[in-house]
Amino acid sequence: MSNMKTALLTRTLVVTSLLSLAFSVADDRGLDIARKAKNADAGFTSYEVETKMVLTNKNGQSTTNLLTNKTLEVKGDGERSLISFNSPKDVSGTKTLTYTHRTGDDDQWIFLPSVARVKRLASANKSGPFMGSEFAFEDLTSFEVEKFDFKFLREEVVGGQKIALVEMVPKDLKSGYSRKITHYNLDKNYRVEKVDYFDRKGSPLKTLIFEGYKLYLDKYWKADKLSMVNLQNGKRTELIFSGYKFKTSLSAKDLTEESLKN
Amino acid sequence: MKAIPLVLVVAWSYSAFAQPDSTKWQTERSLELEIEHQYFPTSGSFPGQLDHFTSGAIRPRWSTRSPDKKHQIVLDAFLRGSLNDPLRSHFDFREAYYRYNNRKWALSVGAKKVFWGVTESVHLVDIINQADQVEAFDGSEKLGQPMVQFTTSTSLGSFEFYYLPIARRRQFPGSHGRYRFPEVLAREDVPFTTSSNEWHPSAAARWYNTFNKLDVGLSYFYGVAREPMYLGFDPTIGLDLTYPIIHQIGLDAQYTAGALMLKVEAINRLSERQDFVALAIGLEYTFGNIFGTGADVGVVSEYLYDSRGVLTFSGLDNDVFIGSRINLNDVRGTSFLLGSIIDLERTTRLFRFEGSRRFKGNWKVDLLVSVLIDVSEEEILFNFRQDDMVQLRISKFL
Repeated sequence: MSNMKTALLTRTLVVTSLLSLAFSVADDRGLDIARKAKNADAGFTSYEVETKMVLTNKNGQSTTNLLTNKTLEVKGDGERSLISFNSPKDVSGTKTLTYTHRTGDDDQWIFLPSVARVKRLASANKSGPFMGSEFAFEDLTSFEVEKFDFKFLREEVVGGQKIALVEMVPKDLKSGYSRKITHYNLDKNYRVEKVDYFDRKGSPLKTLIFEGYKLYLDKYWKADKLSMVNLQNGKRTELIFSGYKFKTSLSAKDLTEESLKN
Repeated sequence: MKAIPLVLVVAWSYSAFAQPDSTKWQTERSLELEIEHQYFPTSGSFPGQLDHFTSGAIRPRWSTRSPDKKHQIVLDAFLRGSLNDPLRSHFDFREAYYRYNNRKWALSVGAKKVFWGVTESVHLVDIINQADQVEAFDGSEKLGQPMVQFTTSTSLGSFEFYYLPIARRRQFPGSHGRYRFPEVLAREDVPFTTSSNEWHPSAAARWYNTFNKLDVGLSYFYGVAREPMYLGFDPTIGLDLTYPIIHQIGLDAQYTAGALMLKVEAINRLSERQDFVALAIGLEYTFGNIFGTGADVGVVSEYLYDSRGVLTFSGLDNDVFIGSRINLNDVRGTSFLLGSIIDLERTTRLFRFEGSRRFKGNWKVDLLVSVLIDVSEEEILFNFRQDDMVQLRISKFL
């Protein structure tokens, strides 16, 4: 009797641990893909790019903003980036500086040219829209593996290429998303083809599609165009990139509070 | 002097043909045109003051940078023409300077605008530029300050050194204007205590550094005061206002913890006839993406102290500021600012509303409502007690 009990218990334990092992393998695969994607992007040192942001409302009327982005890779931490606003003209000369961190709050400063003032900002609004677009602030900061929990969903073949779908749950409760599903292209060095965003209630919110991928420095896949469509309000924002320059003379000295004033 | 605006216009139109290229000088230019109407619902305290004021402003900006980014020239001019108050019509170079950028340091020569400090309701440590008093009575607009500025970033923080050869004086409104004193003050009516002309040099230095979530700045200024020293009102000689030689030390600090910012500014200003301290301390909290609307709502509260008491030129000697900044984060960049300053000892209360938004892409509308309630007759602000204002500005950006 006692032997049977022990056998049953042993069997249950074995099955449970096998199951959990299977699950943890699945979880690890999600994390593993995200890490590989992050590594595929690593080592660029710095890049500069001109960005055209086209905002279209559900009536088809559009507005265009022009930005310049300078980004520096930081070893062991998130990226540092400086965004200069060129259009709309009333905010021309405004600049923002963001230090993304792997853990904890990001640091952010803004330069207001009309009063020649640099202000340090509270890092409160992650989920709010950037300049009225369908991109939230959190969509535009660098991707850090430490900020999410991962779950591998499945592998699909799209247009003859292997695509892995990984679910990511933001660890930060201030995020506007309950989860997002990232579509990684396993045949193209883990570049992202698509992201599905789900709101806090779990409903589909936005879809981001990456188009016009080009290979830079024989290593880095960069899309020419990012299209974000809001499934709930019908609005759309396109980010169109031009003039990518990698490994520029950009250094940490060019991305400081002091440098914002010039 | 008349040739300067002409040169500016020629330089501005010439640069229209410049193209951004890594081997050429990179030139940027812009032009802002603005019309403004101010309405004062209550008739003025002094004879001759009007209720309606219409004016226009032109603001051309031009800047160029060498391909190696070492050389930089910036021109930023401002011209306002008022139909009702000739003393409000004025021209100024907000900025007109050459800057040399080295890897570790930079040197600027010419007129510049410099901002120091962290608080929202007063700017105690901010002292380099003179206020453009006719442009904004609260001191939020500044005149360009001629200077030689040396800045350097080191492992011990950033340092700024200034040589300021000229002291500029404030222009006050004319006889028709609001926000004025019983007597109409020409610029020359408020004297320097040491010399009769503007060529009195001042010097200043500032150090600032960031320690993780804490930003700290220390500053020192020696020279001609930017804010007039007010020593009282005498019915026979009028307001006792002068620009003395001062020593000022300033401290500003901000601690940023997530959505919360704690801020402090403190100064000690010493002159032959006056020695005082002033303090502004407060907090700002931002509620991001409020109720999922995408809007940010910032709440600011600051306590303001000045040991000059009723002789405080701004009137803010023992007051509390409570305000809110609302950014809708929409395509039109809609934002609102609400603020109130309450005097803790006297009856004076100030209220302010600002709203602005873009329209048709390159147009912008700004509305400002400023109200002064139960102004105490002990304060210099008593002269402005009737000057509640509604101001509408429409700007076009080219």
